[in-house]
Amino acid sequence: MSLSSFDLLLSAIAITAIMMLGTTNIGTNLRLYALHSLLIAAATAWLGQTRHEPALFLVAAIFALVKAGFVPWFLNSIIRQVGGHSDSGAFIPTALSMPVGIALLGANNVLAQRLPTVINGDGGNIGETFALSLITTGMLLMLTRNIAVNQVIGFLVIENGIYLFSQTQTQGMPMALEMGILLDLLVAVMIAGILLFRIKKNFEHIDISKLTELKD
Amino acid sequence: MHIADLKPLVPLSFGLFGSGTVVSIFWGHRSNNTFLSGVLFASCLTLLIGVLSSWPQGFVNGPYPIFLGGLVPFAQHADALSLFFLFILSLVGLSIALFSPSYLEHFKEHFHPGIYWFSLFVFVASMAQVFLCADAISFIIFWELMSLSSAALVITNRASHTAKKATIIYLGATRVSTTLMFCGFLWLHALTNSWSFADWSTMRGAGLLPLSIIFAGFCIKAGTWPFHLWLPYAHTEAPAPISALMSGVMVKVAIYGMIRLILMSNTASVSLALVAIALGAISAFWGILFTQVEGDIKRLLAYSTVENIGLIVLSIGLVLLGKSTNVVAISSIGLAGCLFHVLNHGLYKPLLFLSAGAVDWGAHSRDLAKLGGLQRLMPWTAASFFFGSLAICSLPPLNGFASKWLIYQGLFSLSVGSNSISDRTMAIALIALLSMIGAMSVASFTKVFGLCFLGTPRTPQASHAKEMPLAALISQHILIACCLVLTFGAGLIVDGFKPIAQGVLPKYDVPAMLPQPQLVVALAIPLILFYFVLIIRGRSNVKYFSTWECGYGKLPLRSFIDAASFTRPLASLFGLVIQYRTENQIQGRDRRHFPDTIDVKAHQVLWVEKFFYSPILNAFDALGKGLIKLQTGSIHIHLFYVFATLILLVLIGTQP
Repeated sequence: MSLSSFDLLLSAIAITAIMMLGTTNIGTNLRLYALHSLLIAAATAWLGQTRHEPALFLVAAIFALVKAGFVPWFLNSIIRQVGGHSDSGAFIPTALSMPVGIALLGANNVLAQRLPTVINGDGGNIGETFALSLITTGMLLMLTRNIAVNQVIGFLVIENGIYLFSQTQTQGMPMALEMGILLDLLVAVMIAGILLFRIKKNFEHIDISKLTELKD
Repeated sequence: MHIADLKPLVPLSFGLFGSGTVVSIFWGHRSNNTFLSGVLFASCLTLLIGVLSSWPQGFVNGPYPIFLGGLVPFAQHADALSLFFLFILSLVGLSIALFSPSYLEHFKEHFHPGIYWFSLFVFVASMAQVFLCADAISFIIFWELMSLSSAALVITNRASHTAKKATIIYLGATRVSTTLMFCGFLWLHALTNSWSFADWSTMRGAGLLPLSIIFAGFCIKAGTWPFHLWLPYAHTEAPAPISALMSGVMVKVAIYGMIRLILMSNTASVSLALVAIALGAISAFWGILFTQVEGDIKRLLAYSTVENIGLIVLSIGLVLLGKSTNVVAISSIGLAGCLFHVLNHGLYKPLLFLSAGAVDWGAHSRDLAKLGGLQRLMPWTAASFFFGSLAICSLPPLNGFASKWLIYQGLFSLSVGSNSISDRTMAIALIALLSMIGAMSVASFTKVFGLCFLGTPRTPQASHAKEMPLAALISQHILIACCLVLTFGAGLIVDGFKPIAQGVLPKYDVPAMLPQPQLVVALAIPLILFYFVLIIRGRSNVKYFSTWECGYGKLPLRSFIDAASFTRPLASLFGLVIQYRTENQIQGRDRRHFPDTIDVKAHQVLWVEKFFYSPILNAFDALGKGLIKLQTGSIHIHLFYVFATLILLVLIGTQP
């Protein structure tokens, strides 16, 4: 199996996501996320080039601005105010979560073969694997971290996976819809930031493994 | 002016119900009960006249686009069957309207007149509309309105914990009933692609299973064994007029549904008929057995409702059996018996509930152990309760006798007219069972009447009992008058069922004789002779004793005969079913001859509750306790549930 250069770009996206599993430092995590989002913006621009859709350049630009620029900066500033720079990890050691993420990438390849491929061409089956791998990586990030900022990052990675899936496997969503989702995401991240402040204020920490009162 | 010109009075009565509802929403807390009773009386009277003028052709109003912007047509289709049930409803409505204002004084502290009257108007109007629905969607909408508003009425006395428990049990029963009905309705819709009852009735064979499910739903609402559980709770806790309405009319709505959907369809099956007969016979026996041990008047009346509903369901089973084996005589007599018993029970049961309410109002107790000697203090109530007891025990010549006589006749003709030996055996066994039930109902109503009205008052409360105001007495006398009309016109009534029977049976022919007038004369002659003998002999030989002393001289109040004394012999006879036990505790130093205290407690194991409902409820409880462990409170675990579900769904949704 030989990979085209677009597939290599997609694999780089997945690899940066999996690298996030391997760090405990939230600052590094955010930088990796910014890189990861930048790569997705690049992939979007690439698709715009091959499909001759200039609108995708605009989407890529705004995507890069929001996800690689504003969101990491915003979360970083929250971390600075709330505190908690490193995350010891929950359930499984941080060192182990990266190999698990790689194993899930393989599992996603199996899953991708079960899914119907909508278009052939750029991406295709291997692109499906990488997009799904982003979703599972995001899930793993949310499940194995304690500091609430990491849940936000995990959620953003899942969102990126869904975006990548829609871009590579379909003809892409309408531009208005993409913009709407980006706006929603922006609002979600800001609300998450406010919530983090509230949690910190009420509980004096943002460690979700200690928030276990949500039950009868 | 021709009588048929009065047909529009039926929609007008709905307008009156509606205005009553509006008044009770906005001015319910300020307006007095008398005014709202007046509105109820006027609307029921309008309904009654409208119903009588449209008999037997009926009418069709609408369809009006009300629900879902006209998606579901809403119309009033009245045929003879609907008019028959509306007639009962309007009569009972009239009498409770007269009874309510003075009775409600009793609940003054714990009841909200706005909620009560709003629910009552919604209850009566939705019940009336249920009889007029010709399609399943509007039927189920008004059925639900009826169930929910009656639940709101059961909990009129909001301070009482037992009322809350009763409401929860009743609501549970109605939920299960509606669910079953809805499943059956959806199934029938899938089979016929129509919601109209008329389209469903033409189906053959395939409709049997959905109809059986609907039958089960109706059985729960009607309160047949083993679904009778809610009746004793709800009827006891509701105010007397509501019990009268629920027992007299609401449980009959389920009977109406059975006639409309099952008897009027072409799907007649022997197995369903046998199930109906078995359920009817068991409920009749079970209900009357439990009246023996009950010490609360209204609870006893509720069990008696179980018995009567059992008889009605049994006769529905007879009709089905006659239809499926094509024996006209059995199905005709069964139908006449069913309808006549519905009519009778719809009149004398409200009468008994209203009289029981009057006792509760006057003596502030429903416990037979605390009453007694009320005949002298409340003579009119005593008279109406006595009349109701005679009628419900089906003693000749009253109307109860006529309908039970018809059911007996149906069983007789089954025992001689059927070809299968098993049917004949069953019929003879049922005749024996019915006669036992009749005897036991005489026993239990003797117990109630004796303990409540005869003897001497056993508590100070009972000795200060007073008669209710005139309007409340008139309300009971309306029902007595109706029962008397039915008594003398029994033959005419049976002929009058012909328009109803046209929709149900190919041919309606009741060969049974109803010798009511002759019976009246035959029974009246000895009574009159006895009276004259008394007058001629004068009162010279009459000796006076204090009541119920049995030759022992004057008994202290505490050693009087009470409900338990009546209960013991029968309870020990049917010990297997009733499981009635008394525990004696004698305390004191020299226990044998000079005890300090003697404590006798009676308790009873409720069989169905213990072996049928408790395991189900406990299983749900255990399931809930097991499932709550899934809720750990950890955000990680909850996220894991979400993700695991997502992946599982992807795996299920995709093909390899």
